[in-house]
Amino acid sequence: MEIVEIEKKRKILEIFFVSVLISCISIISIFHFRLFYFLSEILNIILSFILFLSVRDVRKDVSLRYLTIIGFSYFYISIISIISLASLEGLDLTAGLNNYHLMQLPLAGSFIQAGSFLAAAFFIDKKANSNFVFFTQTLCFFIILSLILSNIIFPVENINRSVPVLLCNIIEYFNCFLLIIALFIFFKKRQFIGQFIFIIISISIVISFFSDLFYVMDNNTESIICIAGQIFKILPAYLVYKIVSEQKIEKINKYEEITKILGEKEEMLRMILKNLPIGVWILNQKGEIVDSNPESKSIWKDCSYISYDLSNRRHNWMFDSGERIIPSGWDIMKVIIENEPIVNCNMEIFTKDGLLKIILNTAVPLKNSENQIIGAVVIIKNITSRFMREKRIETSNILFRLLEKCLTLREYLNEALNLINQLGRFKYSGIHLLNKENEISYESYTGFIEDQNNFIRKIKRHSDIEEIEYMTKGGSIYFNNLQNEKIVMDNSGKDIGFSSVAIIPILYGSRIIGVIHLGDDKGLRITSNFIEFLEDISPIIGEGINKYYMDEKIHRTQKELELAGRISDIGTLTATIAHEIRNPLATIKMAAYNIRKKSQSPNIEKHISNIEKKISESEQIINNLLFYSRINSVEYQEIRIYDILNESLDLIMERFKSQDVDLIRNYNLLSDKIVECDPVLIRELIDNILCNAYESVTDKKGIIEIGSKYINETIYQIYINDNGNGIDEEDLKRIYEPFFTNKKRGTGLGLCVCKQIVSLHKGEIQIENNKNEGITVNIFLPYKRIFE
Amino acid sequence: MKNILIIDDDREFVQELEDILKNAGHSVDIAFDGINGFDLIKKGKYDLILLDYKMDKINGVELLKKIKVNNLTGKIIIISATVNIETCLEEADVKDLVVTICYKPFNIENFLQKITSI
Repeated sequence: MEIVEIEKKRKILEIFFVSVLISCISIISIFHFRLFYFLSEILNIILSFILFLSVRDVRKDVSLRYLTIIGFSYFYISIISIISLASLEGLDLTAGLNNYHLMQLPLAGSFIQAGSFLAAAFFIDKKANSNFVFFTQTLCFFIILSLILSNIIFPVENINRSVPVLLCNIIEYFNCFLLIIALFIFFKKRQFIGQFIFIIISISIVISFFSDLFYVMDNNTESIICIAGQIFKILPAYLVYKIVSEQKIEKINKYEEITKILGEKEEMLRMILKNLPIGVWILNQKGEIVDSNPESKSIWKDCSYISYDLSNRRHNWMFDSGERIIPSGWDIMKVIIENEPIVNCNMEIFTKDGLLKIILNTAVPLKNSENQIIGAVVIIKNITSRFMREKRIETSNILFRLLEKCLTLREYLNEALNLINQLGRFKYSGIHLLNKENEISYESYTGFIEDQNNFIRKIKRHSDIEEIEYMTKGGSIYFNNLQNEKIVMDNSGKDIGFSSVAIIPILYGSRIIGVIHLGDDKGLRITSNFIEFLEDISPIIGEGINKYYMDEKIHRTQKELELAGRISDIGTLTATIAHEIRNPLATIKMAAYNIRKKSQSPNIEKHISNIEKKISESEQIINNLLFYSRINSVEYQEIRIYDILNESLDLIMERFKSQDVDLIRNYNLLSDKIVECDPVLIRELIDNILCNAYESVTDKKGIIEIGSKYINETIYQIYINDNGNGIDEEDLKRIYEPFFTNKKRGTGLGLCVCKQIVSLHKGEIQIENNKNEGITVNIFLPYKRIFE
Repeated sequence: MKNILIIDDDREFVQELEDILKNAGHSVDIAFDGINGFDLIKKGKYDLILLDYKMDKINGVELLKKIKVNNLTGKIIIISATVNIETCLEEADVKDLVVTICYKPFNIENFLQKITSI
């Protein structure tokens, strides 16, 4: 501001000084012409000197403005020389045309010189864009013109015309002409021709100097001043020449060169931007994109961010949810407003075809030389695949660590679900496990209420058959309905509805062992790459789940092994004992037999049969003990099962002949069936069950039915039904445990042995209480040996 | 009516068995150990030999081996309280000498029937 003020003041002073000076000279001319003439030449010298000084000063930093000043200065000098010429002859400005021919030439020359200097000054002034100078100088011109017109008649002074004066005048013509051409060429930048012209001007000035000199020698002493004026004219002309040839042209060249280099550099920058494999945005102060490269466009191309249309750019941040993000609400505005760079910040965007893109953002503020923020540079990079890969590895690692951390399957699934929730941020999520019958054996879910949960199950079942076309390659199903119309697939979903639903199978090997399901009612989009991601980690969850299954199995096997070990110890002991007891038992049995034979007394008979019965019981106990410790393999034979049953039944009837029992045989179905089994084991099995049956009906009239049923071509069923006391429901669970018994006597091994025999044959045994009384034992056995 | 030799070191058992067999009309000789039994086999001609499996001095299997080595014949029934002795017999390669095996305690009626039928 101050600079402009000073400039103004200087201009005003300039106008004032010039006006006063011209006015003074003009007033003098009225009274004393010689003095006027003298003063005008003095002015000529002063102007030339000023010119010299200015040009000397501006040599360092040439400006068109100074050339303007030079142009105007020569204009004044020309005016003065017109006045002086007119005064010398004592003529008016037009009179010379009629009376004195010789004066016509210098007068006209001076006029043309003045005009051309004025035109050149105007021309330069326009280029220099300093209108102020134009007005100042125009004002001065009119002052001088008015002075000339007010002094039409000048005092007459007789001067002898001579050749040098004529030469001087001719040179003036030439001078003007050259000056016009020089200015023209100078602005056309023909520098060599320009230099040449200036040399010519200088020569012409030298010639006019000598012509004036000769005039002085011709006793016109007052013309000495003219010579001085000419001398001073040479100096600025020479200086102008120096400026133009050395500096000005050089500057012009420099400018052109710089422009060229800048252009090349800019082009190079553009090329770099264009070929960069990362996206770049240049933002202005408002956060609007002013420039971007092709990569940045391709990153955002398919996204819900629609276009780069400049007129519409503020509305670009439209998401499917209808949420609009204006540039000022954008994180990157922080960079511009708070001068805080954003470094490697992840951003999630959704593409139109349902992909999730992860974009790495880095933004730094752009500052000008005065450290003011004028915008920002944003670097964007599509890191989706890398991000997903890293996330997959990270998630896998977490899932593996969970295996160590979580003791139970339930804990593990809850943690896994938490993890999925953190990643997906869905309102509803759950894991369902399927057992072998494809029933849901375990569930863990958040958000879903029971009814919604049913809905999910229905989708699952639905999808198995009819919705195959919706399935992804990994076997997942997902829907996005972002128009906020809730998906209703089934009546159960009607009340709740979801805006998005996904079901992802959990695989172990190729078997589906469960599903992950996700749902949202707020328009959270399920993207195909998130589904892919879940499909990738689902086998890991599957492995995890299987690990818990295996743990459970191992735990169970361990328990079994422990028991087996215990039993094995007991087995060795019992085998020894059993053998040792069998010997005396045999003797006792025979002794009893002999007693009966010998006594033939009904009194003794009762006791003998008691002894025999107890011997038989002892045998059974020993057999069971031995069996339990011994059996672990089956020696298969092809036999008629019908015969085995008959034998067993005969034996048992013999054993329990004292008991009043109706034994109903109902197994004719098996009469011609040959089966593969171990006859010893099967006999033991039937014996045990019949023994139990007989023992359960000691206090009443027993009815025991043994029969068979046809199941299918591979399996047959034998059932043994009694009307005994049955088994307490609580005990029913424990009857297969070894050493469990509720009898007063007994090893508690009977049914344990039975179970073992049946499972060795790959069959099944079920014991249930009858509705009225007693129990039914169902045995399912295969006809043919089943190999593992 | 059969000529039977019982070789068993359980004296009470042998007594009872002898009684039963005699009552059934068989003639019975007794040896309480393997050596004695072997001598009797060499001397006499028996229709049937009832041999205990587990005995002091020489047990049933060893006796059978001896019989086989000496090329003696006779129908031999093994009486045993120990189950699964077939494998032992097979290992000793004397199974062919044995007619049948009776596991203690056996059903006396069935046993008598078996003896008669052999």
